[in-house]
Amino acid sequence: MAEILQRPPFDPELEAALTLLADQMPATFTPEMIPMLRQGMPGFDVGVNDLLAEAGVERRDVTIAGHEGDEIEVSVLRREGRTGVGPGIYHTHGGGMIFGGRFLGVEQMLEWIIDLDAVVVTVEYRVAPEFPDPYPVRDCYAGLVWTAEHAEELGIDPERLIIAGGSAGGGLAAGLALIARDEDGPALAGQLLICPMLDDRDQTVSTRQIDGIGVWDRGSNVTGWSALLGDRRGTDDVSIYAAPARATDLSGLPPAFIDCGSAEVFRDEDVAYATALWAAGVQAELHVWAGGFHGFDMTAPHSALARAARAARAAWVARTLGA
Amino acid sequence: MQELVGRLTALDAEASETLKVVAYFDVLVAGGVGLQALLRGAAVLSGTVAGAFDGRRTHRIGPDGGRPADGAGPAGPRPDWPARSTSTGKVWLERDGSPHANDEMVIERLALAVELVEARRPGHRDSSLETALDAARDVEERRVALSRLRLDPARLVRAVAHPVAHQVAYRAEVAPSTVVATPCGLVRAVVLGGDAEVAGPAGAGVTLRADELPESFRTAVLALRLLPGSGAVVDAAALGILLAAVSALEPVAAEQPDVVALARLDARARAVLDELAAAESVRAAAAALGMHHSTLQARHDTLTNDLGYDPRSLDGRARFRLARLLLRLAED
Repeated sequence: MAEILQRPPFDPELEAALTLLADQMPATFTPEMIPMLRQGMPGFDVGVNDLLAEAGVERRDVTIAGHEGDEIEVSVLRREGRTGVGPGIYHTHGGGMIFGGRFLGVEQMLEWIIDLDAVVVTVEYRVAPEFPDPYPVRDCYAGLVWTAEHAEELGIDPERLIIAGGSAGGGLAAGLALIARDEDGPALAGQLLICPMLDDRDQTVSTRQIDGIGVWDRGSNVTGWSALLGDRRGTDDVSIYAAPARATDLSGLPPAFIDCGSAEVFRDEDVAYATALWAAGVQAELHVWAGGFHGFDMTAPHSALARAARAARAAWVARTLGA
Repeated sequence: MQELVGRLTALDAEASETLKVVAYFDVLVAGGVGLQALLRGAAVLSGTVAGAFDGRRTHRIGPDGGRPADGAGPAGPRPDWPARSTSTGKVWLERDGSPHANDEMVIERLALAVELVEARRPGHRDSSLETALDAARDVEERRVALSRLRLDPARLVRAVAHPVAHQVAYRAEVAPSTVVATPCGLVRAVVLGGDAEVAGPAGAGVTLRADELPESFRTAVLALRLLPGSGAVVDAAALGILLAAVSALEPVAAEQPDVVALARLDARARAVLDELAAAESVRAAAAALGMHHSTLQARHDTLTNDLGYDPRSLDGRARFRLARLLLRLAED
């Protein structure tokens, strides 16, 4: 085997952005860096309310029962002055299962709140390692059940409820779709999986290619999964709800949208998941953006690739929600 | 996790961020992007609309990477906007109010990059020169490029590398020139006859046959990186085996104890060492430095102690010279 593994090059616009930003963060996140990561992240509320107000979106925070009945918080986001019933989007944020807050990644959803009259419910699930599996996915599922049960009061048409998440949030969303199917939970009209984190086993070609470079590299990914699963990571003792790539039966799942970059760790597991969905007769749309690193649309939103990726998502959401 | 490395936003309006501007456009140019991507870059870095007229039509892009919401907008720059001419038209930033700290740099690099993108169009004279200098192309391809440049493959020539911002004074018909993306950033490359005068600042490559231009250019870029200060010319041929040694040692330069010892000294101490190593006598060095002879003698002893060798001994001079050159590469 070759000593140096080839990898697809980064798109020049993305590489240029990374060149300017990469010195702010190490390529690999180790467990010791988790506290630093949590501090460095855009905070829960810092700037969020301004962003919402600017978009004409109102926010209501609700405390609900999470896993094992513990209290967790969700935010309900809707257009100011909205009345009646419309589509719903249940959002699970990213952050490698170890950091992040419920407003991380909601920015693109603001346009769906305005343009599609959607109500977004975004959940503050508890993160690892303090709250390992199954806390994150079960907190998220509790929030989904709450959303479906309160659909009428929230102004959500139960026939038009989708789940959406990026990165770890994409993995959690995929897990929610599996739980909802297996436990006869809420009906879902679709699952929007943005560069989802699906596989704890660290065995793909793409994970070997993105090691020590790019964004959310192999080492960072191992840090995230190890925090979530502890010694169980990579063993047979991992549930399909924690690592949906392990599911062998994907039949009966809602239509999926999956995207990722060609130069990120999650590429191969995301492509494999789409392939498995098709094999199971499930409708799925897959976009592999050439030269994209993980989360490129957030890092370089002005780039041609980011704009194309956002447009593809928006088009799928509009079609899926029947707009 | 989607904002792990943050988000690229407009540069500070008050603080100069020259290195970031240069790095951003260098990566774009090396990646072979087109005009639209260059404009998106200028717009996002400056936080305002960037425009270009390419001789046929006007392009305008806002900081979000899309067309500005105000529609068609102006066909060209207003007199108070930062603007530059390119070979076929103009580029500008639609900055209302006082200019930001990086506007001039952004517009300079945008104009340069636009020129490069245009020069790369197949059949363009500059693109032929880039091919003739490129070691990755095979000799047949380079010979075709040379014939487009009307250069005999057997003619003795030298590649010269200038800092990219340097305006070339040569006449284009006798000295083809272009800007080339190298691993060490953008460089303005010129091909001169083997015996032509070179104007600094420049690194002059070794004289070779025209079909060996890539090797001449490699030595020219290395020589440019060894340039001690502005205005000078470093001639690769004059360095002889030193250039080969520097080239071979570059990958491990930063770990060499002699380089590390030199890196620990400040600029003044290095200037003293330069004189000590070069001068006929300590007395002559003292005169050149405007120091008293006995003061310099004491300094000489201290520096000998710091370095672990005497920079005026036979071996010491060789060690100092090689370490000095390697330090320039390491700091480049």
